[in-house]
Amino acid sequence: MANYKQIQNLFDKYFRGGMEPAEQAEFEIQLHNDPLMQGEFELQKDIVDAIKQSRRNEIKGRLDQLQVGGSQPFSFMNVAASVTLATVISVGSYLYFESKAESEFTKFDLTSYVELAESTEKNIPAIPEALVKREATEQLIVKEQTPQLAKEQLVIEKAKPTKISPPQIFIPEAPDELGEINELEVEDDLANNTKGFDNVKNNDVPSFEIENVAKAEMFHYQFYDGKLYLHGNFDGAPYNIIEFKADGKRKVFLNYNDAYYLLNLKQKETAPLTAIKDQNLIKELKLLNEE
Amino acid sequence: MSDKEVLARIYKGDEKALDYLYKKYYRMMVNLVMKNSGSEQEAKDIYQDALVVFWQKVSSGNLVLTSKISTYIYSVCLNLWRKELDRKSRLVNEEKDGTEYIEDDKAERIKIVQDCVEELGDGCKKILQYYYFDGMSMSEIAEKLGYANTDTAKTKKYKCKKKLDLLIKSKYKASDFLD
Repeated sequence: MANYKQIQNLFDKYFRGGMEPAEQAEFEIQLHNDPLMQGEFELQKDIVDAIKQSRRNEIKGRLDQLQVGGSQPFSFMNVAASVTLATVISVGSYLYFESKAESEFTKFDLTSYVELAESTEKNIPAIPEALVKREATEQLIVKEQTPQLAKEQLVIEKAKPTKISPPQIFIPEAPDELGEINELEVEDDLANNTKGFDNVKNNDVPSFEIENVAKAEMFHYQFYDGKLYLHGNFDGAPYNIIEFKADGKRKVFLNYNDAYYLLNLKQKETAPLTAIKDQNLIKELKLLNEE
Repeated sequence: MSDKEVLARIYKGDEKALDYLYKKYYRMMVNLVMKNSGSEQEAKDIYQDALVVFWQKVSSGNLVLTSKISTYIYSVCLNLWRKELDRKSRLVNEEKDGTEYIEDDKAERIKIVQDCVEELGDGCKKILQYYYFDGMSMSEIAEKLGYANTDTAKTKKYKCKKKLDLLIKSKYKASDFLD
């Protein structure tokens, strides 16, 4: 047998797969024929295998230390635990939010009720003070159906025993010939009190429904706080306001149903409308009214 | 990291490239074994063994890859698991027949040598591992371990191997290694 170094080189070449097929065949025959060489070969083979195995163990040990995030294989217990946890969370969330939603709904209802009640009070248009004062001794029922309020109805009741067909007041648009009509401020006070309702439909001609128990058939007027109030049933025909201004003086007439009425600008208390009987004056007013 | 880059880095002995592969295909390979009657630990062992095979083939320059790395590793896992199932089946039959399990002696001898390798120290262990397992050339070992040149690496390897042989022979009789 050759010396140690030669044998080691021969074995290394074989273990590393560096022999040609013919060289490898000759080597294997030599091993078969030399028991001492075969014994040494077996020893060296075990040593090389052990070295390889130690290297394998090192690599596997290195890989084993790596954290494989989220890559743990599924197992029945893992799946069962996950499903249980998910169920608990789902049911808990459902119960929690269901309860919360219910309480919020109740709270919303209560709030809405309160707000509705408050807004109803706030939204009540102020009744002209003069009107209230005038009818202080009367049993008065006022029903408003302002177009601006649309479907909202305001009902103010003061111990009314019966209902009587209400007179209506039509507030006309300012006639062109009375461009200064703003100074007179003929307006619907109740309509003004509903200006804040932006969400309701606004019509050009507001209407009022007034039930006057004692004097429904009579026509009255008054100037109060710079505004003209007309009382009575004016739904028979349209009416016009005619104003004259000369030398710092003003004259105001009301035309309704072919009749003309002189309105006293200083009349603060309600007063009956008295038709003008002066035919010349009526004729002049008609001419002005027709222009 | 592309397959080409992984191969290049493993060929140079970069173990971090192997770590990358291990994490990337862990789920796929472990599921393969577990879906075929394997336990979690068995699946992990098989996958690690497959990567060891892949590492050895690439680092020694003995692998010509014609498919994706994942496909190759998948096939290795499948083959290793089939071998393991055969081994387990054979083991059951041998136990039934009362046949002595021959590989026990081999495993015992390997364990004795491994203990001796550990006694050599880290320098000798590394050079012998790189030479016999990784299949590195002497110039590659010299570069990897920072030796001055190839001859230095050759001399170092020769001395380490001789030292190991003497250590083994001094501790154990030849009969311990021969059947």
